Parts: sequence; structure tokens; C-alpha cells
Amino acid sequence: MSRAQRPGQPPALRPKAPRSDARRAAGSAAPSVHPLFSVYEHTTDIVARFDPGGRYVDCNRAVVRMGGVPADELIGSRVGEIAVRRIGRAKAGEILELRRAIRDVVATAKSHEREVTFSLGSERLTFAVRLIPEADAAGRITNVLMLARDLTALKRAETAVAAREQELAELQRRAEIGTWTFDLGRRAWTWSDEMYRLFGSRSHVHGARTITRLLGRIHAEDRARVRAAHRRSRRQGEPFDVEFRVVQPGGAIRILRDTGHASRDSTGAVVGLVGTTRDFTAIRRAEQQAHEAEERFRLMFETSPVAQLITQAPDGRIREANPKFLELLGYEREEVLGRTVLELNLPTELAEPAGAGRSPESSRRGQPLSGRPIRAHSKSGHPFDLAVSGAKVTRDGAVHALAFLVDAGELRRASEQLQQARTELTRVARASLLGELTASIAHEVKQPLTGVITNAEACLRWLRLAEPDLTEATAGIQRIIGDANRASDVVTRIRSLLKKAKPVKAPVQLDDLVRDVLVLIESETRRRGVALRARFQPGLSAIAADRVQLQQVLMNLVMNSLDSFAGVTDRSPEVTIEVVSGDSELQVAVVDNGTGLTDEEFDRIFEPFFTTKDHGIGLGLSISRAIIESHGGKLWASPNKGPGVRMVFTLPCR
Amino acid sequence: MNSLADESRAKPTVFIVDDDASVRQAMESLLRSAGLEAESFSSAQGFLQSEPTGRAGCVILDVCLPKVSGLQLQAQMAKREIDLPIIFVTAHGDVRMCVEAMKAGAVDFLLKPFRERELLAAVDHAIRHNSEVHHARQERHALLTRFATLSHREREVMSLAVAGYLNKQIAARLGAAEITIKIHRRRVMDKMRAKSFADLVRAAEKLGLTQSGGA
Repeated sequence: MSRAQRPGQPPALRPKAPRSDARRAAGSAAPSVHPLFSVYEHTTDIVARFDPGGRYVDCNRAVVRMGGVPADELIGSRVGEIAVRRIGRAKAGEILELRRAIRDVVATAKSHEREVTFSLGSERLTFAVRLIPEADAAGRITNVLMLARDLTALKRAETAVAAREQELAELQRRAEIGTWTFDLGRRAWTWSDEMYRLFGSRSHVHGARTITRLLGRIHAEDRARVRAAHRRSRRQGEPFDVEFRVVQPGGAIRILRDTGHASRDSTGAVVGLVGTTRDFTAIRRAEQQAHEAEERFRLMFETSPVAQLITQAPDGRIREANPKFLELLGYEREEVLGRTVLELNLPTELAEPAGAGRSPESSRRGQPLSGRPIRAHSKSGHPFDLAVSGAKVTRDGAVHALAFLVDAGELRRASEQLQQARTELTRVARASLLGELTASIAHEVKQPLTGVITNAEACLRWLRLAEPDLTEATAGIQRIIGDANRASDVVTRIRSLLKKAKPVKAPVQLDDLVRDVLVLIESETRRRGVALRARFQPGLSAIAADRVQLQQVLMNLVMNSLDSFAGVTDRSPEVTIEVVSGDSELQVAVVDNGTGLTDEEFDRIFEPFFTTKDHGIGLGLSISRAIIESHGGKLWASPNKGPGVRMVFTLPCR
Repeated sequence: MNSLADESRAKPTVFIVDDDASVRQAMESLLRSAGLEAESFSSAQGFLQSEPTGRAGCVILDVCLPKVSGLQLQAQMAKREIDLPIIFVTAHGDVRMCVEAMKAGAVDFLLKPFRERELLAAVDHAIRHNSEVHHARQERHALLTRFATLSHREREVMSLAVAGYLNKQIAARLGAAEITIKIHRRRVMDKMRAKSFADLVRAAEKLGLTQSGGA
């Protein structure tokens, strides 16, 4: 099959084509053009006529256009003859098979249809060919008419569509995007393969029943919402966008987002829905994690005891400042946000991203920005020395500097306080030596006491003998006198020792001192279940006193009170320390609701070695009184209003 | 206090070591009034210099002594084999110290001030204890001396006899005639000064021979 353009020249078929007897009979005298001639001539389909031997008898322009061979060259040649000559036997392929087909049509007088494929140039062409026998009145086959339609474009389109569909399915699978339609009329769903996978189906059976089953996996709480969104879209024709959870067979939850719109027919009536479903599980989870991380950061930032500042490079504009920062420098949040560190007269180091000149690791860890403190000023102009460390953070794609600020002065004060606490501890340790002192005093007294008793008993034995030994007895009595004097000396010595011990006086704030005692004795009171309280008159002035000695007195009085609760069960034990300021003296009272004292005990408690306790030595109060007196004050005891004792001491002030 | 008397030794002595002169003298006076011998020292060194090894009696020791403390003296006495029982006295009531002293072998621990009854009872107990220990040691010493005079064969015969073997069995064991064993046995009884076989068994027990005499 070949054809050629013969511009201007009418095709050869003209006189023969409408060779219908009926037409002729219709009486068109002049050889006229058949009304359908132009259709024949201009159709894009190929029309040709062969004689029973397979030679071209006639052909239309389409043949000429396709083959590029003039019609007169073609006519008379066998089908395929020119094609073989021009494009070779191999490429002409199926064209040559038409010869046999023509023979068959001639032999059988039946029309024949087939597809013929061949190559022309780089193109592979496909034609749908129909061969129709033409017979004369006697029934003899005179010609074979060929109608051929170029299917190449159609074929190509079909291939392309198939490829596109495959591509789309692959794309959906990869993107985890499923598409679906819902036909309102048939009330039927159509799902892409990916839809099944999104719903967690492993079945290869796709269809209405599977879809119904899979829709049942939508989380019970979300079903109504999804249905409502689709219904709204259907009724009002607006797009829908709904997110829902799908419970997978294992119980895992998948979050799907379904978007789409109503589909309409040519009249604009809504006939169904078209939707796209995507897997949002990872996205939502990532969002959740990001949100939580942000929350954690915010919480740490807001509650940190360290002042923190976030500035944005390059101009050091403040993006965030935590409450500690605002407190430290005396600003309101609104006053600093959006301002630069320079505008606030803050050191520019605060806005330096810590990455400069450092490895990324070290900047992440938050390295000190400066070895020595940086001087900064608060809003009111108060100077600070700040120890600053910083880290580089990237937030919302922008580089920020995160600075940590510690008031170096505060650090120093803290370390001083620690030092002070240590000193205090040393003092307390020294004070406990007093306990050891009393023990050694006890030893000193017990020694002469032993002498008295043992000598007296020996004397009695010598005197009780049948012949009393007066020499031995006299010696014993003399030793007794010596021992008694010795015991008396010990007491005198202790008292004078305490009187001689000059208190080291320094300004003492009595309420502070009481608080110290409360702390020192706290574990003891808790262990014994005693409520220990202190009441101060406001505005107490400092007095000159020996802090450690006063602490000892107070400790001694409180300990006595604690000891007085032995056997008390009918009331909750309470000890109160009251500090009241008078005109010329401070008065400190330790009041308890313990067992109290008898009249005789009240008379004697300040005597040395008098004790109401089983294991007491009886020196605490006499020493305490000596200490208070050496401060120019007085110490006495009186009964409490209720049960218990009220111990009071005074100290002169001013 | 007759029970304290020991005819074979000198009268027991109570040694008092206390740095407080009055207490020391008072105790000495008290003990003498009770008919006891007493010697007193103001320091640990003074006591050790008096060479108390082998003497009968007991020691009253103050825990708190200058230079060498009572507890240190207790240790030194053990080293020098001075086996006098110790009664500690102290003005410090200290449980830990008391436990330590008792563990090291003290017989009593008195807190000052104490009463005469407590002291005398402690002294009586200590001297009795010392005397018993002395007796036991004396007896054992005598037995050992006698046992040393036995010949090898006589010792064998003695161990088997006290283990309950008949002369016949002993003879078979030692490969000797029964008559020979009888002679050995008689000699053992003489040398050990045992008046009866039961006497011999008691002596063997005190010498520690009976455990090894099994079949």
C-alpha cells in the first residue's frame, strides 16, 4: 500500500466508482460526480479496489497520503509490491498476507476482516482492514474492495492509558494515597488498590463486600463524623475533608485523611462523590512528638532556676526570655520581646550563637561563652556579674542563640553561705564539748563521794569490832573530812570557772538564734513527736552576746522541756519559745506543757547536781544561770498557767 | 572468810590500784577491817614492780589511771601470766568499756560510788575463783609429775585400762602375757598414787587421757 499526492488531478476512480446500475438507471446523463465522491476522496480511511489477482484497480487519496506513491504508479501493481520495494520484505510484513486474503475472498465470496501491522520509518502502524467481495450479475467475483482504518493512534492511546493506570496505581501505593468514588445511583463504591491497603486489608479479593467489611474498621467514635462529612458534601455539593482512625486487625490505629468533592453529571446534578484518602499516621505522630518536645522545652524554659534568653541571629533580637531572666534583670516580658540585646543595653555575648569557632558538638552541649563573668545591667541600672553559657539552637529553620545566665554574685553568696554553715557546724561541735565537760565534772565529784562512803563504812567496821580500833577509825574520819572538802572544792571550781569564762560578745539577732536552735533540734522534736514553735515580737533589735553560749542555754532549756514529756499521754506535747522586747531588756521564755515541777523542785533546780532526771547530772540549769548572769541577765523558773513549766531569761539590750 | 584460806599458799592479798589516795586508803582500810591482806598502788607501774606473779588473791583496778590505763594493765597482766582476777571500778558509767573489760576476763565491774557489801562480795568471789583455779592447776601439776615417772609400756597399759579394757584384752593388744600386764598395772597404780581404780580413772581424766582411749 502506497500512495502519492497528485495535487489537482482527480483520482482515477472517478468514472468507475459509482458503478451502480441503479444509479445509472436514475438517469444522470452526463458522467457526473457521485454525491458521495468527496467522502470517498477525503476520508482518512483507506479505500482501494483490487482485481481478483490482487492488483490495484483504484484507490482514494488516503492511500496516496499514507504511502507517498502516486496513484497511477500504484494502479496495476500487486498489493504490497511497491511496499516491499520501498521498505523491504521484513518491514512490509503482514501487507503481503493480504494477497492470500484477497484470493480467499475471491474463492469464498465472503468478506474478511483482520488487523495488519507494519513498520513505516520508525513508526509501527496498525490498520484494521476489511476486504469485501464485489460480484457481477452472474455472481462472479470481479473485484475486492478494501476498507482500512488507521488504528495506530488508537493503539498508542490504549497503551498509554494502560501505562498511565499502572503508573497511577504504583504512585498511589508509594504515596499511600487511595482514591475512590461513590456512585449515588447504584449506591456503590469503587476503590483503588491502595484503598484496601490503607484499611489494612491483606485480601486480594476486591469488591463491594470487602469494602463494606473494611469500612467497619473505622473507629466507632469517628464513623458518624465521616458519614456526616460525606452527606454534607452530597447535599450541598461542597468539598469534604475529614480525618478518622482505622483500627487494624492487630489493634494498631492508623490515621487516615479523606478529602474530595461531589461529582456531577452534565446537568450539574450531584451523582456521586470522588475522594482521595491518605495515611496521616506518621505525620500526626511526628506532630505529636514535636508538640511534646516543644512542651518539654517550654516547661524547662519557664520553670528553670537559671535565667535563659533566646535571641535570633544575626541582630540578636530577643525571641524568648524565661521568667527567671525577667526576674533577674527586672523586665516585663513585653519589654524585651522583639528588642535587640543592644537596645536593652545588654552584653552582646548573650546573643552570640555559641557555634562561632567551636565544634558543633561543643556548641550543642552549651559551652561557657566567657571564662570570666560578664558585666550586665538590670533595667534599673543595677550592675550584675553574669556567668554565661550558651548553645546554638535552630528553631523554625532560623539560627537562634540560647544563653544561660547565672548571677555570679548569687553564686558567690551561696558559697559564702555554705562557708558560714560550715563555721556554724564547727561551733555546734565545740558546744557539744560542754557535754563532755559535765561528764568529767561528774567524775571529779564521784571520786570524793566514793572516798566518803568507803571510808565511813570502813570506820563503822573498825568501831564495831569487839575491840574497836580507834586509830583506824580516826584516820578514816579524817579522810572523810578531806573528801567532803574536795567535793565542795570541785563545785566551787566549776562555778568560778564559768564566771571567769568571759563571754565573746558580738551583735546577735535573737530571732535568728532561736531559728538556728529550732533547726538544730528539729530532728529530735520530730522523733519525740513534740510540736516546737517560736513567737517573736516584730522588730527585735540586736544585742551584744556570746552566740554559742546563748545557744547552749536555749538548747538546754528546750531539752529539759522535751524531757518533761515522759509519761505525758493525755495532751499533745508542745514547747513554745517566745521572744518579747521590753524597754531595756529582751525576755525569752521557753514554755512547755510537760509534767511540771513540785514546789521543792522549783526551789532546788538551780542547785548544782540537783536533777529530776534519771540520768541527769544536775548541772545544766546552774551553768545556764551562770551564763545568763555573766550577760547581765536573769534566769528563773515559774509554773505554767496550765500544766508544765515556764523558764524565762532576760538579756539587757542597748 | 575461812573458805579463802589456803593451807598450801600464803594468805591471799587484795591488790588495790587507784590514783585517788583517799579512795585507795579507804578501800585498803575497809578490806583490812574485813580481815583481808591488802596492798595498794597509785599506778599500774607500781603494781607491776611489786612482782605479783604467782601470788594469791585479786586486784581492784581503777579504769582511769594516769599513763597506763586499767584496761591496758589488764592486757599487760595477761602477757606476764599474772592470773589474779580483776575487779574494775570506775566513776564513768560506760557500757562499752564495761563490756570490753569483761570480755578480757574481768570478774566484776563496780561503779563508784559503791557500797561495802558490793565490794566485799566481789572480792570474796574473786579470791575464791583464784583459789579454785590455783587448786586445779596444782593438782594437774602433781599428776603430770607422777605421770612422767611411768615407763612407755606402763603409759600404754594405763590408757587402755582406763578406757575399760580387761587385762586379757590389753595383753592381746600389746602382745604380752596377761600376768605381765597385771604387774604393769600394779606399778601404774603405785606411781600415780591411786588408791583405787576409780582414782586412776579420775587422774586420767584430769590429764586428758580418756578421750584418746577408744577401741
